[in-house]
Amino acid sequence: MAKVLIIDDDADYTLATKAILQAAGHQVSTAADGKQGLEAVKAQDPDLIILDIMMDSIYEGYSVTTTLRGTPEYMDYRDVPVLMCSAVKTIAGERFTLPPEAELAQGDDYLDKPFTAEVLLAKVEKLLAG
Amino acid sequence: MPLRSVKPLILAIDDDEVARESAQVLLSRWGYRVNLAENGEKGLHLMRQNPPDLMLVDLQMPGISGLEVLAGVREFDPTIVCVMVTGHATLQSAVDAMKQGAYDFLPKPFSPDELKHVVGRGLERRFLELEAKELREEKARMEANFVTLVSHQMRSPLAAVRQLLEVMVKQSLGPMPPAYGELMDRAVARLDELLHSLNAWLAMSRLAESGIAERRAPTALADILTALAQRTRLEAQAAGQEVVVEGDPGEVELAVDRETLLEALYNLTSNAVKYNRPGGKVTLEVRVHPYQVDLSVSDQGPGIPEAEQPFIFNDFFRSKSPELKNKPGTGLGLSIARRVVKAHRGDISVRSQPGQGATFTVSLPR
Repeated sequence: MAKVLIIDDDADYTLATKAILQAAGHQVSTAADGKQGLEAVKAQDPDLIILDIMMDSIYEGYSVTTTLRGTPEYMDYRDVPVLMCSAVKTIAGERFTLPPEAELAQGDDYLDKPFTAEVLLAKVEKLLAG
Repeated sequence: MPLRSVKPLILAIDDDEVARESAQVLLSRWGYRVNLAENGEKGLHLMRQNPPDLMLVDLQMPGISGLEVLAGVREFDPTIVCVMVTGHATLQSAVDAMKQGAYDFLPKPFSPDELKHVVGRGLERRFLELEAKELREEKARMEANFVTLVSHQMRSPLAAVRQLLEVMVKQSLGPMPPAYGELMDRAVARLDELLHSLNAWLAMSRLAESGIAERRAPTALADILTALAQRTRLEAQAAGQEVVVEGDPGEVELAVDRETLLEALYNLTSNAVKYNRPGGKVTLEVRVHPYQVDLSVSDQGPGIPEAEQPFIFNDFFRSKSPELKNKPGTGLGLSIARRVVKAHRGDISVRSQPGQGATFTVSLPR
């Protein structure tokens, strides 16, 4: 069992992801935007973060990872694995363009929405083991 | 409107130096930026270099006449407001100018108040026109992107519904009466089909706007082949099929938009899996030639009727053949693949004999 933090502004995804993870025995907390998410990281000290890329602003998820990985304030949390997800990237020709210096923002793995329980749990287990 | 935030620019064209100087003094006193020209030719040149919001044009000048200047302005940008300044109140020429699109005229001599009034009204007209033009353009953009917008709007809620159904299908919150299981699976299958179509439509409209050429970057052929084989294996394994990779990509690099090209190739491999015979083999083959690279995908399915082969790359084409027509599909996969390959200055072709599978070959320049 691990502590997983879901940061997503879409309540339906949060609900579904939480149910799948809880059924697999994980302890889940949630946050609805980047700011709440960063506060929750400190409050919950999660083993894994599932982070939506597009929230209030297009790249809000990326700014969360940049803060986590790049600021002294979050020094203690910079090794927490981050699973980024989005409903946008599945479409050919449609993509996020990131500036080259944004490598920090990428997270450790990526998940297309919607996802099956198997794919989600496989990625979660891999990141937790990794 | 952003244009209002900068001071309006006025271009005054007059051969009379005194008239130019007084225009300069008055207009800048009222907060406008001013450009001056002493004849029509210089005026038009200045207009092109630095397009003004409003022009004061003397009707009678040596060289190009005021009417000719007016015609030049109308041709360049009809939203630039022209006020004609007439020397000795020749009513007829003023009427002619109005007919040809001048906004107003000012008979000389005029008072500063008259000038201020005409210029103020003219600028109002200019900004209304610019605003209207912007709205028309916005509307045209909306119309052009209608499919994209609608698909996007539909896609998010549907994807969320799919995610919620996933919880029920996997019974994450507790067991469900078995009788519901099949209904649930059917609902999921239909929803997946719809999401797949939406993704394909979006991909189509994105490709129409997309900048594949700008995103091309050196990419190892071996890397493309590995990524393609990996994803194909996942799909093939799920369908109880085998994937075989043949040929040697060597150290070859291609200038491609990797992600988009891979999406196009996935369309070919996922077709191969979809139409393959049960337990069949999917073969990925790479052939490196001096000036091009051929990547082909073969299956061992029923093949494509010869009569249909010329049409399979068309938008929305679906086979009428009884063995093929019941497979789910959007009729867009191959047409998307062709667009992507063409955007790479490559070519895509098919070879198939009924009963002996099909081979799709993508040729890309080295």
